[in-house]
Amino acid sequence: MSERNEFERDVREALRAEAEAGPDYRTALHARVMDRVWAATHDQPAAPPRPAVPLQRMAMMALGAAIVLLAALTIIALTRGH
Amino acid sequence: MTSVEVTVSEFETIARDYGNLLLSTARLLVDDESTAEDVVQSSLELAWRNLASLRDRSAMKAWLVKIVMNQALSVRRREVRSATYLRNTVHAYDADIASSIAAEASSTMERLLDLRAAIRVLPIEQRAVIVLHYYLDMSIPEIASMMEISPNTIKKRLGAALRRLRELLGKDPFPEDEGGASGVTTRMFKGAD
Repeated sequence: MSERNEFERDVREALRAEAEAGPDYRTALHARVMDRVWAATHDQPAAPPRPAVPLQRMAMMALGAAIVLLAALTIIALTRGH
Repeated sequence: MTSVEVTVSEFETIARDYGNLLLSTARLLVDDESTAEDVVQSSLELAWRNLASLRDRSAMKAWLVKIVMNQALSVRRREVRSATYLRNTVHAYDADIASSIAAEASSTMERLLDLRAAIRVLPIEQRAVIVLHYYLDMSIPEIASMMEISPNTIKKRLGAALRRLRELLGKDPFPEDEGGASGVTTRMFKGAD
């Protein structure tokens, strides 16, 4: 076996030993993971906040207010003119 | 092709099947057990939320490993930017010295312990390539595809990692290293579970 192959074999063994030096997934983590998955499943994405008054209705109200204001100003101008 | 659709119970089976492999991989990429567990936990949650983006169920294993690798790289990069890095660097420096001293040891066990310490000293990008190639048995093209970088870069990174490990162990470089990482082998992704 060449020096490189021997070194690569040692690297594999060292990695395997390191990887296995810890608790098993099922014992350590599975319950926590599934709790998170269940929480994510029931987690509904929040809908964007809707304005209290629809935009179209707000525009109509603004237009109505502008007409009333204009009419009032016209009446005032006409009565002062006399 | 449609996306993969699985129920929670099917996902639970997937998590059980691949959990050990993912936890072992995370353990090799980050420095402590609790961080490795956090990486796997967040990776599996992310996988569950993004299952729709997976087109081929046979690619599940590689897809999960990729998520774990990205999460681990992200954690390591955050650590580098934080004060934790200072502490870890000191530990790594200690390991570096320890590995140089232990390099003279002749028994297999000591040599492997020494190598484990040396692997921890590697920069995360080199460590990731070492783990994917030598632990998960992934080929260079597969690693390149997963990390979205060129096979040549992966080959160079792997060669650099092996050279660095040899340096840390006080060994001479391989004779063929004079011209780069020409001796790096390629193999198929058999998996290590």
